[in-house]
Amino acid sequence: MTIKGNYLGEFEELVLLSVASLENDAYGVSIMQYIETEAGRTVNISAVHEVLKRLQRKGFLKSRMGGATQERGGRRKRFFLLTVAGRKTLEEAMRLKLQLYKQVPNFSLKFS
Amino acid sequence: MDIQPPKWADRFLAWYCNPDLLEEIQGDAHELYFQRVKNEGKSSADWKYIWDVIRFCRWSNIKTSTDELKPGYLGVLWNLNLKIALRHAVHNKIAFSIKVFGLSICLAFALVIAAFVIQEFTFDRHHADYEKIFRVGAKVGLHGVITNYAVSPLALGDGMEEEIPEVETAFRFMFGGNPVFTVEDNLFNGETTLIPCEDFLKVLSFDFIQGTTDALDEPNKIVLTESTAHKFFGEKDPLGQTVNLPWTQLEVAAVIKDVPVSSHLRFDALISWDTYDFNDSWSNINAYTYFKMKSGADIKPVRSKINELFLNHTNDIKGSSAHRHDEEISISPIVDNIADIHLSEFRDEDIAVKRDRTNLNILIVVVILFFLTGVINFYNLSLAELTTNVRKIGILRVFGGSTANHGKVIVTNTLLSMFVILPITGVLSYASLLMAEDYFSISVARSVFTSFWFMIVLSGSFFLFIFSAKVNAFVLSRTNNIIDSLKGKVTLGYEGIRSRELLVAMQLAFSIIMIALITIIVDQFNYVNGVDKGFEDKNTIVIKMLNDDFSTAQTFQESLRKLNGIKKVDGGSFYLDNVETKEFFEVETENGRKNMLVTYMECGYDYLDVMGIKVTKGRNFNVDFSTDNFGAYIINETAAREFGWKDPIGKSIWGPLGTDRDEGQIIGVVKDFNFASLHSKIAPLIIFPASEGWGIRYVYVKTDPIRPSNLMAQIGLQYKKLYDDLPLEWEFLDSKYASLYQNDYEVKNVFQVGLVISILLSSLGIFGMSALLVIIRAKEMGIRKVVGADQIQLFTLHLHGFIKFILIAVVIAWPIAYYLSVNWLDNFAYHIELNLWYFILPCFVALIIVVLTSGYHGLKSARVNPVDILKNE
Repeated sequence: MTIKGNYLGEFEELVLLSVASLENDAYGVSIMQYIETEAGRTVNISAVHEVLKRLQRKGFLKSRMGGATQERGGRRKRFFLLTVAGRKTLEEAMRLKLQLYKQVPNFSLKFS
Repeated sequence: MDIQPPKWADRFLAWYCNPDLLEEIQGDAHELYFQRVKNEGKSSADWKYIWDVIRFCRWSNIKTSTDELKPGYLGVLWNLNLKIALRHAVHNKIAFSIKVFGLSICLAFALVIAAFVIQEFTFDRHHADYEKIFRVGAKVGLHGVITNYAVSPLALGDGMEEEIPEVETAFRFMFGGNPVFTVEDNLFNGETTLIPCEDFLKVLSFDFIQGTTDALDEPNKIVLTESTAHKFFGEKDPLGQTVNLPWTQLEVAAVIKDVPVSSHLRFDALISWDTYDFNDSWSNINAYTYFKMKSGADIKPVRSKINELFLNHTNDIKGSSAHRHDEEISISPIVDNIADIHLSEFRDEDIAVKRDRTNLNILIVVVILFFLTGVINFYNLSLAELTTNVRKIGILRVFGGSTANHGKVIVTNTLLSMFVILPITGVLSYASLLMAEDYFSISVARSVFTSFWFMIVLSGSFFLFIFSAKVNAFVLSRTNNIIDSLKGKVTLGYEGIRSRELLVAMQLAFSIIMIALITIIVDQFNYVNGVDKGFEDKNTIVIKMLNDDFSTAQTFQESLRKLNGIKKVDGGSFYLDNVETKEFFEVETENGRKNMLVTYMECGYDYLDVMGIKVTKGRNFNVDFSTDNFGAYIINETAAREFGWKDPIGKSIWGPLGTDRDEGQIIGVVKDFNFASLHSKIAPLIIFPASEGWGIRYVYVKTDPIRPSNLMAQIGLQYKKLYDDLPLEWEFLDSKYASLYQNDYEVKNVFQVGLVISILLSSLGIFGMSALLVIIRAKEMGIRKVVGADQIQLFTLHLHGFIKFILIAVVIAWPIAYYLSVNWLDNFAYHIELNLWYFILPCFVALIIVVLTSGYHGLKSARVNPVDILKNE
């Protein structure tokens, strides 16, 4: 699964996770704020957009336009959803990380 | 909802942002903005909004970029176009290379000539404030004969500074010729030297390597150019070194960079004015005077003030010498801007590097014609090439390509050719530049290539190419009839072919002009070389006597006469480019003695013999007549005419006035001989024998046609015996004579190269055109063949279409060729007469070109199997 095009960057992974957890309410601003509150990282909205576009091009996300809204001058939101490929990649990445983490020897043992 | 994000930022976002993305981006940005207004206040929100807008401005959000995967994405299309263009070039290797090379040669040639012309027109622009620097010459009228001199009175410079308030500084210099310099026992003699006063370096701009502009403030200082300094001192530091003149010592005070090619003054060394003691009066008309105006001053009042200055000093100018006082002498200034001197008219005693404007005009016409033919050619050939592709365009259209997209295909084609053409052009121009320097001694400063005007020419020419590609694209992709293009039919329309024919005809006209001009130019040169100059310049060596002492020169000549391989030797004062040989004579006329300014020559008794100058009436000088030495004159035929003498023998002449010579009688008349170039008319001339007081300036040595190879060495040996401290300077008379025509030879050389290229180009043009016609008329030819036409008929039919080109070309070419050639020939006082053959002959050449180049396709179309063409449908 480590074909170059499908490789997930750190921030890409973060955004992908946020989209996954926000379920049906994942759009630019909400994703940004989610990352801010959950991960404590301030990111610029444009960076989020950039990554969303990239993930969509890689086929991990799909998007649809929402209905007209009040709070942003009637402009519609673009909502993002995980594709099957996206979910698989995410799971694969998590699994790999967990697997690697499990093999790390216990730090605390060394001190005793 | 009064609160809104800053309008301009919003508008900026809308301006750059891709419309597909604008809604979500703007939406998100606004949503954040309103949240921030609530939480942090308006001003902070404003700033953050601006920041967001700026951060959103990245390539992927900008208008032009589209998602790569979207159909019609620009990058993909361009890639495709490039591929098509490349494939095309590979498939039509010959057509492509003909097109590319033809254009590169054409461009390179035109660019180099353009650079040369630009350089000629921008002489002396490197001086700071050049528009404020002027040179003052003198227009001297004597008995109604007006001579324009580049020089002016020595006192003029100071006079202007004192009496004309608008003049900031005036400076002058004398021409020092090639003095003999001694540096540590080495003799140097080839350095052109000027003797300027101190402001010379301050007003004119030269690049200093060492020293300052104060270098010439004191006497006995010398300023050298870089290459002269290197020649004198090698690797040593030249500053402060000593350079010896025969009578004094000079100290090197500064070293400047070599004088740029685009300077009208060429010199190798400058000696400070105060080293010499010049006769600083109004009557000494020998200085080159320049002045710089104060900023803001107008030249018009200055001109009239200088004129006034001349008028006020007329009596001073006439001088104290009695014989000039009652003469009608008029003198007025000639004021030229320093940048105009190079192209100005002829001035007597001018040392400026000059260029004939007519020759330049001819070159400009050549450049323009070359550019045009290059473009036309390129246009025609690529069209012919692309029409073979018309079916592909049809298919592209069926699949929904738009007109603009086809245009792009064609433009890419051109761009690809450009990528090949540009480097080739660069290499070719550089090579031709080097060749021009080596073979034609035409040098172009490298800085011209970065000059403003050259950039204009360059960008103009590329604009023309793009334009021609655009026109092509338009013509080809406009075709509305998809079915026709699918069938491979070219629907160019009658108009398209018409205009193209005219273009090819123009090209042909260009060739005819070039052929006509080159035959005329070559003929004129043959005429010049073959014309009776009145003297023999073959096998003649001229030795310049740096020490003009009469008796030593006599001894030297005597020693030469004994050498094997030398026929005759004698000295004279004349040389081809030697000026300053006019003096006042009194001449016997019907109305008494008349004062006249006449060219004179003093020479040895045998001189006329050595030079092969024929005596038509009377006799030559003869040692047996004791009166000959001081009482005899010989004149030329023009002088006899001018003085109004039917029978000149025995008439009296007095002069030159103010010298040791007085009355003498005419003993003979010589046939006119032309010591200047044939550009100028022969002037009256008085010849008298050289004597002690006059010296010998040149020794002419007539050798056997087959001379011993060590002759020069032997002459050098004899020379060394008598003039130990002087270098031997000599030239062959015939090559010197040829150098008088250098300016014209340069034009001739350019034309010879141009002729070859233009013939090549028009061949290419006709080749391309006939290729196009063959495609268009293929079916017609097939049907004709089926109906029963034989090959010869088809061949002549094909040629027939091209004969009319020649007719159109002739109509265009003749007036232009006539105008240019008459213009050029007017430069010569003696020139060939134009006749009809000069114009008919090029047309025959053009005919041959047409038959040969279009014949290839004619033959091809005549021999084609009609089935191949007709089954097409």
